[in-house]
Amino acid sequence: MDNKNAIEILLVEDNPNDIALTLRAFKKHNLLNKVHVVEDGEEALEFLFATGKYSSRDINNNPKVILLDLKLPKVDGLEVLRRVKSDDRTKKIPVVVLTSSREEQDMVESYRLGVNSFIVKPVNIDKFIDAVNKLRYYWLLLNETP
Amino acid sequence: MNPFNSFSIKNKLIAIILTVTFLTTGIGFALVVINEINHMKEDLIEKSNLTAKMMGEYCVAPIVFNDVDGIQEILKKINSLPNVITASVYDVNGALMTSYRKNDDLKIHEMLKQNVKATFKGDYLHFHRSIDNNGENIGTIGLFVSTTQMEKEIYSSIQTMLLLLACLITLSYFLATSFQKIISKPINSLRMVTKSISSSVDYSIRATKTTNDEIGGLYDDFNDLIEQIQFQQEAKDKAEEKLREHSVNLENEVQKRTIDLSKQMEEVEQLNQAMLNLMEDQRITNETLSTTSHQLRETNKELEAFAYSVSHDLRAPLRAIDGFAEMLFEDYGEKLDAEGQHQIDVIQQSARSMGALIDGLLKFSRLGRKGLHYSRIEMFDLVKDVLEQIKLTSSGIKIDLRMTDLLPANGDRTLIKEVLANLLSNAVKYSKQDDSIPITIGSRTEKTENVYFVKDNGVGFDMKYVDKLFKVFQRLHKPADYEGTGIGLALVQRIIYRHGGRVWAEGIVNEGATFYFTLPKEKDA
Repeated sequence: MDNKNAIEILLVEDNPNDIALTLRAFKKHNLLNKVHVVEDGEEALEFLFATGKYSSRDINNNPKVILLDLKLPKVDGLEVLRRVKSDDRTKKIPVVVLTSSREEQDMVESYRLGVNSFIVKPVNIDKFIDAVNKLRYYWLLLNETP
Repeated sequence: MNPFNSFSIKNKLIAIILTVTFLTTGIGFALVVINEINHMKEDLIEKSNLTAKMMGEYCVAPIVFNDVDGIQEILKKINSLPNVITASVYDVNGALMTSYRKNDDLKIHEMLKQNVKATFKGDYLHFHRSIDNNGENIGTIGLFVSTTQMEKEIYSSIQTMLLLLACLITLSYFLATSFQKIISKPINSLRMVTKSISSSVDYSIRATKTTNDEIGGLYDDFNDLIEQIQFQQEAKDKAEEKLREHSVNLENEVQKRTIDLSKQMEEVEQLNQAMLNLMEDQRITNETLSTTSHQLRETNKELEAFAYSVSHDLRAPLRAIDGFAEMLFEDYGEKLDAEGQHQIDVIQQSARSMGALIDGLLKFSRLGRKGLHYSRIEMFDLVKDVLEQIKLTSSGIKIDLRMTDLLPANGDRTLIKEVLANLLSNAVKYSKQDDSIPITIGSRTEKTENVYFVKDNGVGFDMKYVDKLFKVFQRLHKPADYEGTGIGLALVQRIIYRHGGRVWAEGIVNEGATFYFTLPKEKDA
């Protein structure tokens, strides 16, 4: 651990209800203090590449995993994914796409752009919490990797 | 060409007869005349010989006595012989002793040689004869005899002959003219018959035979020939008549056909017009169709956008309802009484069921757009997969599966799996929850398709509602009794229809239901 205040999870989500639900799920698994939330694609890119209001951030201190909603204001999720996966500084960050649908196009395009995992947001909150819990896999994997 | 050939038969016959007559009689007469002339000459010589003999005998004495005058006197006696012109007496040496001439113009010629007694020279016969006295040659007597008389007689004889010849020829001409008819008449009459036939073209005319000779034979041959011609003519006439009849029939037939044809042409024309109208209608329909198709595409796009929107936008608030109800329950559940807790539960259940409905609808609408990926499906294995999934999601369920070897199918594996999942989960859902649920799955093959069925012993259904079974959102049971969205069987039907198959169901209330579906054999495989 380089920094105790390092952001472990970047949540890119515009829907405040979904944010609240997701954070509650993280809270249940004691991940809350390491989550940073951005509400649109542009802010997500600023955070990741330390530009704009995040220009003071250390770009080398990348989040361990990105949770990315696809339907976002300004810059959409697929574009964020494309930028992340096409930049050497960020392409190693695992990206988990959160989506409310199983629309094939989204899935196919996400995989094409190099997404690491795909979670369909279920209506049932319990299932969603289960799904978030599975993210611990990435968390653990990255913690064990120097 | 020999001009003789252009003569008529009559003239030819006459000419032949006259020529033959003329030649034969002419030659005959000529021989007679020549014979006559010879006779006359011999006769003259004979007479001259007698005269010379007589005068020689008379002159024996004078010669013996060399009495020239006596001889002269004897010689003068020739005056009584009109033909004898000159008489001369020669001595034994051939020298002229004396001569007597009726005409002084005449010369006394040299005595002829001894061996020649008589010779005709000019108009005269020179004749010499020795004068013997008791067998001793004492001189020669010579005579000049005029042949004029004889010639006159010859001419006369010739004239007579010629006259006779002329008479014979004339007679012969008349006879020939008369007799040639025997030959020329039947020939001419045959010719007339021929002319008559050829001018009237009447082959029934026959030549009447009058003789039994070659001409008669010719008549017979001619009649035979005409008969053959007549026969052929009749046959030809009959043939022509038939031909004419046929021709008329043909014309009638052609006319009839032409009328038929024109009628048919009219019909074709009408049909063509109808076809054109149809084509015009078709074109309009096509235009409409193309417009409709375009509209349909637009609608599909809109539907897609709608589905996307539904899946994203409708699910998010549902998630919030469910999630926040959960949060409410977790954070404040203790402060609520049992009724309040139940109400939270109802909120969550409703949100989840609406989520399931949206998922079902999305799945159903996606089917309309998704392309089918055909492959061979081992139905037996697929059923086992599906059952495993059902057992996983519904714990504590025991299924008594009765399944024989299922026929392999040809179709989209994912979709057929969806069909089986729906039918099997329905079978489980609607069965009585005893220790184990009996489900029978089977198949049979028919001409062009395989029939599969899933049979349960569950609540079944009333056959009068069978039409409602496969309709979207149509349910035969209350949600409180059996969960469900009313989309499952509609989905099954849509998948099977897209594969070109059929789907139907049989049921008896409280005894069970059997769902059948068919899949065409080897479609696009």
